[in-house]
Amino acid sequence: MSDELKWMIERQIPHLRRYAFALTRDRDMADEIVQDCLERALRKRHLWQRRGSIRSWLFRILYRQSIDHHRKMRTDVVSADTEVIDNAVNQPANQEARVDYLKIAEALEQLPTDQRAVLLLAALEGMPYDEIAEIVGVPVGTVRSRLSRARESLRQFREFTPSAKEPVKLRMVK
Amino acid sequence: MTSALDDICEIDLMAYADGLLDDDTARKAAVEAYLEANPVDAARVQDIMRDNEAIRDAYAGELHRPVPARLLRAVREPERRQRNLPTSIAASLAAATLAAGIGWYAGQHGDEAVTVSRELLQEIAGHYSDNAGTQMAMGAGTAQAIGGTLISSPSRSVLLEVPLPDLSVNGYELTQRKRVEIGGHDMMHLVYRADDSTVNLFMHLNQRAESASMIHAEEDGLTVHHWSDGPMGYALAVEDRDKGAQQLPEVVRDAVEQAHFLDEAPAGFGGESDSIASEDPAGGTQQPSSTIPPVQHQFN
Repeated sequence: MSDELKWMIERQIPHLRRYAFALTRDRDMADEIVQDCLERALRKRHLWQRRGSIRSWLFRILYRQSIDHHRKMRTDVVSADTEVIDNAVNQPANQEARVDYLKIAEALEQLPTDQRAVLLLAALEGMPYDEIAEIVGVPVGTVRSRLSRARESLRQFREFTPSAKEPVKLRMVK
Repeated sequence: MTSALDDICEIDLMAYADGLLDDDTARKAAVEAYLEANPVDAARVQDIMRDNEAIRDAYAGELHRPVPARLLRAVREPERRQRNLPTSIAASLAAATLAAGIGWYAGQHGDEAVTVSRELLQEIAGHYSDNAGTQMAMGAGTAQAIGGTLISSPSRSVLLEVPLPDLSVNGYELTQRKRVEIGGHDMMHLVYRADDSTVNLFMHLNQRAESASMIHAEEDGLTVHHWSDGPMGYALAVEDRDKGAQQLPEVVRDAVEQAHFLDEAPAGFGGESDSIASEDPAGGTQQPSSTIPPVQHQFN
């Protein structure tokens, strides 16, 4: 295998880990999915078309791996309680910002998996819709409609969740 | 005559909010002019941009976390990787006892017509079930057999869990699964349906722990893709007119590659009592793909 390909794949690892973590909210599971993805990518490297982006190819593999993991682990769903979300996101020093992070993580948690997957590719990875369509394996129109529904859900979550209107008062722990 | 502002639609607003119009200055300017004149949509776009920023901020630190050594090793030393179905484990299975007691733990049973000829399926199953100890005879020059012969170990009982492929992202829903016996070969038959086409997947046991690359057979408007992975063989029949199904063989092969051995039977597994002739009493109802349980296969 060429060093160039290894180098290109390695550059994508942080992005793959971030996306996997955002999807699963579980660091161990995310790294497991990324490892499976990397192994599969190297095993099937002959399938990578050089005319395509290596990012799309790796994210497509990762997405499929995440679906398989989700199906296998469906009885072990990470709960949406505050403690889990608290552990899942970085804790900035600014309390108001931290509340925002908790809210967005909680809102993402409410989304169906297919909508969350698409939203994260757009918002987190900044991917164009046609690339997302290629990764997820659906038409571009479906990507747009999933994005639209996801954003409407986020809007409703903001609007109808009491904690979204009234910032949570965090208790000081001595 | 319509102005550029009349031309702005939801797609433009989303693309603008997602920063996808940065390279299209003319369109971006048109959207901005539209937003100035439409405060409701402007507020909505602002919300989307704010959500995007919040999501990016929430996970910003992830890009700077140290990469675990095992992930770097996976790229730098891929030869150390192990297969999901290592031959060393498969070799401990009992070829002589495979035929004696096989318990499928499966769900629904139905009367779906098999659209692939029995002769072809029989040929495919027989293809991989050659007598242990003899070299597998492959019909196509592209096939490569690797792995070893199964070793008899009658005292051991082994469970193999095979995930059922979820093809819903490809537009196919699993509508039926049942056991069929064709030419003396016990198979699991899965039926996936899209709006106007059907895909059939057959899983069967190999008597040899060998893997072979995919072979394609054509028959009456169908293409049957078949391959072998350790103790399991697979045949996927897709309709030639269904151009959307061309990527399915790869998708299915990737999914079933997650097959793995279980240390003990999961709750609800019927073991020998669920042997070949059994049917699920709840048969007939459709099962949503999102709740597809895997198939567990027992070797006694």
